[in-house]
Amino acid sequence: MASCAQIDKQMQAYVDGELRRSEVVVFEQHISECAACAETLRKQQKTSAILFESFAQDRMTHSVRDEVMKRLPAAPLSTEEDIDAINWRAKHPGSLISRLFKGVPVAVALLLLVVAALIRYYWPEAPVTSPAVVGMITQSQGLSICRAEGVENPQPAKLQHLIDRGTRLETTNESRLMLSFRSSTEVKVNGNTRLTVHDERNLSLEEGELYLRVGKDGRHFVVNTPNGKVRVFGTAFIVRVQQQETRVFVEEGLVQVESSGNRTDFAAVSAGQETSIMPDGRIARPRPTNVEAVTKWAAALQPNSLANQRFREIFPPVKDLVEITATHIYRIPLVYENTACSIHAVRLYGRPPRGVNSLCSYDVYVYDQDMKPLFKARVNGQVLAEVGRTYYDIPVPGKPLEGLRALAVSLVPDFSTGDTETNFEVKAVVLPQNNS
Amino acid sequence: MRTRKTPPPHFDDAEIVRRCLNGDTEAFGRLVEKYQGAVYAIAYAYLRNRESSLEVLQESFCTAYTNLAQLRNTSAFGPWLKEITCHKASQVAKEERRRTKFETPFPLRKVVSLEEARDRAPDIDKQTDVRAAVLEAIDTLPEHYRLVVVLRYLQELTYNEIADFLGESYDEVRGILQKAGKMLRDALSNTDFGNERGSAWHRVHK
Repeated sequence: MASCAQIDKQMQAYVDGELRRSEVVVFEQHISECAACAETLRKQQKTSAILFESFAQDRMTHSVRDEVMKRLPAAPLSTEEDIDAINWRAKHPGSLISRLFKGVPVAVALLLLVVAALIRYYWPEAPVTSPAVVGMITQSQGLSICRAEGVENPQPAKLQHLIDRGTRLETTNESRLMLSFRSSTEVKVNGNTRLTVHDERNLSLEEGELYLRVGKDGRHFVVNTPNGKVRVFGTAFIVRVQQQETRVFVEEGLVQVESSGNRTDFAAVSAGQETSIMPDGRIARPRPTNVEAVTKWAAALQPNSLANQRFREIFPPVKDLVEITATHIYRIPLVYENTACSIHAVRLYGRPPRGVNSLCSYDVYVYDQDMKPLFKARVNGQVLAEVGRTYYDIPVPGKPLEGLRALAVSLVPDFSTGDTETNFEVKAVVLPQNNS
Repeated sequence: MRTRKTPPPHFDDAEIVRRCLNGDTEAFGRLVEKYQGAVYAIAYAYLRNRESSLEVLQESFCTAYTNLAQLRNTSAFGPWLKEITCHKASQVAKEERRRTKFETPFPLRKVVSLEEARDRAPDIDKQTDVRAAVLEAIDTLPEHYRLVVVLRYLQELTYNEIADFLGESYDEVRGILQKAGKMLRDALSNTDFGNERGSAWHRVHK
């Protein structure tokens, strides 16, 4: 006699006709005697019926063999990859998309690297807004050397290299450079030249030759040489230093040349003239010269268009510049009824405008009627602005000046200290001679 | 294995696979004939949808055919085919789930189809209820029971056929169906819709 539990385990197999003949005999006998198991069997049969019934609508009853065979690929020859891929996917569940997304961190890192490299590549060599940057190399022919201040190793001067204050530049026999500065000044550097850029309005030329086209921005531009100083306001000229001698050729405008050191020689050189500062500081009288001949090399040196464009982006041209006529020469006629007179002083009438914080000082250069230098002096802007002052006398050093038909006075504002200009009226202070 | 000039009506899978690989495409037809129901049922277990299941069936046989040379144990064609089918079906199921996310939610669709259906067949309501209850009950079964149950009740495979296809022993299949049957009995027999279905049962078990 089989137990109900044993019979229960054969219930499904009995319904499905999967019991062995011997089992069927035992099973059916138990059912005929046990009402509970008979009821369970009824339920089991009912359940099977429901299951078969509810799947009936989707049951595949016809063979699809022919359709499948029709759509089979050409040959049962396979590539290894296919089955390997299936096996791999079976072992590594996850859709293609989700596996792609696993690559996102790597992709992001790579992308960042690329972006960083691009930024590094296109990053300007120095912060453009830095006040230390005064200009850019806009043309370079041959190998020139560029050494920033405080940097030991010299670098080759490359196009678009930004020039800081204190940069030293050197050209060799065959190389040429062109520099563009803020305030639209162009400096062309001939071969075998050494110079230092102090700022955009101040250079030191140790040796060699420079062609300068100085933009007018209300400040003077100074080229220092071993034995002199060349000061200009918006001109084009050449400075050449050779064997301790400084030569200046002026193409346009007026250039103020003076010697340094103990000598106080000076000269005003106008367009088409040249002068030189001798090794001992003596300055030759300006004389006419063929300027075109000496500026030929500079005319041939033109800026690289790309570098020039970039330069314009970084230093856009400044508008509304104060254009000054500071090198204007005041000519004072001194002939009074054929009377000889001696001049004791030069008198300046004029006051700086009020409300200006920093007042500029003036260098005063006095020439005779033939532009032969007589003397120079310096006028402090603060003195001019003193309350109650209406004029300022510059005394003639040494003996009073005599036998002159006219005086030429040049006032050069020192705009490194200020940004304003005073309009002056200049007169000579003449005392009647004692014997007249 | 002995080589036979004329294959007997029931020669085994390994022999058919060998003949396929020797270029006898028609031999593969025997495998299709033999396993199509099982493959369809496996696909249906995943997809619960006739059209998609037939599509998966087609693709599974194509893949099996293309990669037949990779089958190491030629006598285990059934289990191998089953793996291919499971893989494909689960892929399709995943895609369908993703797609249906954006479709009309199921309850709404059911209402629409029911309203349409009611005009044609008045008792569709009842049928749908039974079917839904059955599918729900099957969903509560342990995962490895489900395939066996669908193979058995959808395509009416015998225990031997199921064991052959899944690569399991006859006793295992019998045990699984016994336990699953008991669970389903408990889940379904208490519902009243079983009572008037006696006729259906008699038809099945005639």
